[in-house]
Amino acid sequence: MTSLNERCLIETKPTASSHGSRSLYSIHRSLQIALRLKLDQDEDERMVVLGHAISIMRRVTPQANDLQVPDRKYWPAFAKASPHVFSMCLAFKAAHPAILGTEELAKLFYDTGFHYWERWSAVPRNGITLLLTAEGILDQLGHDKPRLRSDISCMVSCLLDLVGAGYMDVIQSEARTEALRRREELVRMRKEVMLDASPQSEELPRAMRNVNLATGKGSVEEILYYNGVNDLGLSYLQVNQFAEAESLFEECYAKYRAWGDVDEIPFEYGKYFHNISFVRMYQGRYDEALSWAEKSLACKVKADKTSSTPRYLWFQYNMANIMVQAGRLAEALDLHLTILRNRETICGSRSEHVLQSLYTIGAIYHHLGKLDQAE
Amino acid sequence: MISQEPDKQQTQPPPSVPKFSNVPRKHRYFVGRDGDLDTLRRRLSPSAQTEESKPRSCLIHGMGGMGKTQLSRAYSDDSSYDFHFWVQAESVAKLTESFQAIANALGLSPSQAGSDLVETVKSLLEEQDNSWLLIFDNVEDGSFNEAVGAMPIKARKASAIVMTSQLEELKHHTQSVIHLASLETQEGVDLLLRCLQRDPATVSPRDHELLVEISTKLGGLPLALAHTGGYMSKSKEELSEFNDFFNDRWEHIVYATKQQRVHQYNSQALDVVWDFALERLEANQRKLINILAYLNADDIEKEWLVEERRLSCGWVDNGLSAKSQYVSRRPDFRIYLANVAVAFMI
Repeated sequence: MTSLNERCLIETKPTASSHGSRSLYSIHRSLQIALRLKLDQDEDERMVVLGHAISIMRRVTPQANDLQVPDRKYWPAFAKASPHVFSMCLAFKAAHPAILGTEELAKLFYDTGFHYWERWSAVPRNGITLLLTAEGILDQLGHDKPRLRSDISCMVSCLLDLVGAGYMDVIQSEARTEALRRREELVRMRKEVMLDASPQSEELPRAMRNVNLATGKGSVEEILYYNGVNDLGLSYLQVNQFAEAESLFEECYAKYRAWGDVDEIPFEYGKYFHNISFVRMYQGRYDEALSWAEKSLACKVKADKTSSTPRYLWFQYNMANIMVQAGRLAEALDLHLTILRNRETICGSRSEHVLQSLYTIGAIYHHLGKLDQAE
Repeated sequence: MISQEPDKQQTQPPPSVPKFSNVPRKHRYFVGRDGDLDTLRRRLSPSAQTEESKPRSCLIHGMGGMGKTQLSRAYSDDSSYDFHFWVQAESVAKLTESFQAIANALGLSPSQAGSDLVETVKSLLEEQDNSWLLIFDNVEDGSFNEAVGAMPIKARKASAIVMTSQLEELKHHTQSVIHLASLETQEGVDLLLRCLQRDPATVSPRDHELLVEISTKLGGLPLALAHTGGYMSKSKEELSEFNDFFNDRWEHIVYATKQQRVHQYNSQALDVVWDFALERLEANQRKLINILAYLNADDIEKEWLVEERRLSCGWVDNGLSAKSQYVSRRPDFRIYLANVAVAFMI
């Protein structure tokens, strides 16, 4: 490196960090392009070089959580690695002739794409690019790999929900419809994996129990399958297929009861109560809907040990909306105003959650004929 | 001139340290461009700010390798805004990544940033009680609209936006533009001397003549000059020897380019320079720089490369290529390769 630096082919940037000084290198983009063009003319050498680059990034990029549960302790490492993995992905896509990917590379792109979702990245498009490239590699290899494929597809669907219709220019179909299609396929794949899984996996590793289930019942494959079923139900709700959604939520509920009671797995019960409250609202059964919504809030507090989280406020926001639908406008307005204040404190005054609350409150004022306040 | 720099620096008040900066420093061999830097300072100067609420903006326009990026970094090194932000703008994806870094620096959590990160960060900058410098580096066709859309349109404190690009039409979105021309012949000579770490006073008239010849042939293109100077400093050849070699390489493009435009000439100049600069690298060095081509251009950790080389016993074949599948069936050969790999310092 010293020699390359002296030859002015790269630059060195000494940086102080909490672990002492470290050196960072940079290289001119024009030279990077020239090097890649030269390597495109020698595919064997290109694979060797890319192999080293993949090996480096594999070592410094954490693996995605097996149960697809966010894990903050890996975020600093992900933050450092993800710009490099993303650049590698762009170079991989731009190579001509095309590079034959490897399963390892697909997994690396998946792990990084997962990170874009787990921290609700503001650049979900980049995550989708990584995941679709990973999927393309599996297609290219003709690999079945149902577990990796289903994990990729699950994350693509989640990121599509984040970007919404704005990603249509790339996906060529309406984002939610694409998410629904993927989730149907995902459930099919995960069911296969679950049925193929050995019975020995009945007992979950301790770490996974802590993350997901207190009871130790069920298996990783089973948990992933029912998470997929739940997500598919949410997609059905988005396209107003309430009967299909309800059936899936009930399937999950039956499984949750087999896994443990509400005190043991409040997170899972909270999900069901929240989702079923929507189904009841769309069915016009408002009292039942509100009752389920209240139960979901209680579970949320039990699971998170606090009500001061954006997700709790999201559950509460949805309950206030059910009140609106039920015609209990004054009560709904009070609750929405409380949620707005809490969102400003917890999420920040600039967050889109605050914007969402402001818009909803304005609409209620408008509905009540209080045009000045609405404005 | 290099020898004049210390005096010049004494006349400039040292810039105060920004509260935050992720702008890389200018290259250690950065020379010349004094006039361009002065122009940039004048155009972005708060005193020239007619409307207090508007940030100053300037496009640095020029061909690839002309030193646009280095000029913007030199400006950052010499200025005293509270925040100095670097935006990689060659693609929408990288631009958005850079805005994520700004969001982090400003203490914005992911939930606060929301789905339209760029818009959120932009409005946050517009309402900052601190001054800021925002450098959009290397705006290209594919990121043109997004980069323009990401430019804050107001500022509470005297702030500035610098854009670097080969796209001249960007000037319609900035208040001013600097067209970066090639370095003057003498500036090119200065750059070569700096790479060679030679005191101009000790250079013989003959060597000076040769350096002028090389600088002229490279069209004053800073990137080509820097890479050539770097090559010369490592080759340990006499200047006259290098010049013969250089002229030999040059012959084949002179005929091809005499009817061509300047930018085509410059582009071919870079091709020639890279050809010999890369060709003469040791195999391990070549492998290493090739690996860098597949990572992000900035912030590549030294430790990552050290570890990879250690684990692969030098940059030997790592089992992924078609060739290696053949080699890997003969483990002894692999060990042999590792043993004979030329040691080098990372």
